[in-house]
Amino acid sequence: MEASTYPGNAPDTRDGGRVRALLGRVAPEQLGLSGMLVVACVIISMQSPYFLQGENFANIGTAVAVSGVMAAFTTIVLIGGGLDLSLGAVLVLAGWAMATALDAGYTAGAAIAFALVVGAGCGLVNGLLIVGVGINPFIVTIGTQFAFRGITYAWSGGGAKSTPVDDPTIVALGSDRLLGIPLPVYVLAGMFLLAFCLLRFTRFGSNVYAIGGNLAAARLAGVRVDRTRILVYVLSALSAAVAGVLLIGISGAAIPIAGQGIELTVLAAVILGGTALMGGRGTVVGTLLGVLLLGVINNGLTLLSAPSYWQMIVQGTALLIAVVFDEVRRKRKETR
Amino acid sequence: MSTAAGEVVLEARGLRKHYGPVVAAAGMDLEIRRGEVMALVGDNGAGKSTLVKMLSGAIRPDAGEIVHRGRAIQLHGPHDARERGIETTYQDLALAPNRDVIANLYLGREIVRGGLLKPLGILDRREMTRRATDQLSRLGVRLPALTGTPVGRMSGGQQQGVAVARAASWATDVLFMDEPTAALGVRQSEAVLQVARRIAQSGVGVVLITHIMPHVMEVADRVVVLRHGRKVADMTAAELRQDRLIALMAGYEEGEAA
Repeated sequence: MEASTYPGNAPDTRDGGRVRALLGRVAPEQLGLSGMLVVACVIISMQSPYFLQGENFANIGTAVAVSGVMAAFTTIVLIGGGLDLSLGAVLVLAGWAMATALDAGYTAGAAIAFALVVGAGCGLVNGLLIVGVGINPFIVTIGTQFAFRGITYAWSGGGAKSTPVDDPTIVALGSDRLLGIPLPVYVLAGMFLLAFCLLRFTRFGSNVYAIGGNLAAARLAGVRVDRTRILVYVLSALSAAVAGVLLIGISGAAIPIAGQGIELTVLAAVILGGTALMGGRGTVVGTLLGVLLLGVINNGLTLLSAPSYWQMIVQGTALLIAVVFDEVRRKRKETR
Repeated sequence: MSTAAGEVVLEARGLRKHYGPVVAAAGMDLEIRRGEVMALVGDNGAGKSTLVKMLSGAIRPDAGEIVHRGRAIQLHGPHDARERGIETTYQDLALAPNRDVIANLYLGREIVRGGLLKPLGILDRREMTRRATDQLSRLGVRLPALTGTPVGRMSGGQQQGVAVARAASWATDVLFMDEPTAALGVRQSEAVLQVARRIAQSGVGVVLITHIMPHVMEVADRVVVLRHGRKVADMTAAELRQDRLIALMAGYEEGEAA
């Protein structure tokens, strides 16, 4: 604060104006990520003539839709200082719920609604254990990861058993196209837009940033901290349920062993996108770039017929590199 | 402010607080008046923070009464106090470091759009910015940018300005300021003290906890000295000489209220 001889404070509208006010500051890491994305595309397109074809982009879009839908909302979880490692298990549990409802003769709409309710229930369990009982989210969501997947196995009569889903609406959701673009890409875009608007324009989003940045301060300021944090886990699990519906639509079957370890793919994309592992900072736009980068690299490895274990190596390495970058950023900030 | 300056707005009567065998407050009395800046001084462990925390709802007293506008009240948490126009700025600032000034000023009290969209909680940033701009210039708090810049990137003085402005925006009755100048340079401290004065002039009772004696001498209308969980002196600034104050704090001299 300076002496009061200055004129009044003015909103900061110097350079950038409304567009920047809407999208927020373009962080340097987002420019870096965009650069990496372009470089990856150039390298792969030089190696494979198929990469730049429209059909291939449609493939990439469908391939990243399932993890991308969850990455959008994992961004919110991490910004709020939380962690959700139960995503893959919620995905199959909600998916199995939908398949069961379809089997019982319910319409696709009702079956999807059932999947979302099951997903929300899973998120509520996570939220109540983390916020209500006060257990570390890492421990809680590893525990529920096993529990939810175990419940799915029990429900499906053993983990190895999968069931085909041929409901036309669900299958269309996974494989039909509109204007040449696969429907899962529209779902992905919609979920990203929703997460973006929640964070940017609502009281909920503003409070999530505040809670992740300084939980005690948010509580003292009168933010409804507990309610907001529980809602974050419910939204996260809901995104996993949406991903579960999409995955069944894409693969045409409910598979209880699907989605194992997918939460790490999701985390890699989110942290790569510049969201802080310790909370308080991050953007949905960065996450989208992270999702696309990992998707393009995986696609490139497939086009170059690299063995599939290379995808695991690349994803694991990307997660570690992202965490190292996050740590470096944090340290630099502390010492400044 | 419809209420007269000098009126007692918040009162502590015989407040006691024990932590096991440690007596943090051994029956404290305090009268906070509108329009007055009261300096609350005392050595470490004298009970300043305990007293303020009881009066701002952060901790519950074991015994005694809190009287607000002439009525005995129970404070079940900081929220309770805030609803009565009793605000506190904390020593560790309690800001959200990655959010901009507007988000911090309205943290927990965001203005949302009305009408059909109300349940969605869509922020009305324009209205918040407008009101904040007014409020900050009224308080004489000057900040480099209200939007877009995280407060964590601002100087200590600017952050203190945000914390004070937030509390002042909502304090209609009492504002507790816990060591607001502890981390600040001379010029920045000066600015914070001016703000404290301005808030008092608007009819709020301001209570300043500080270790810095020149600040007490400069801004306080009334000085209350605590020692060992008791009030040992309560005097107007006119009665005060700095040497006597230090003697009281250290316990070399017994005050009239002991």
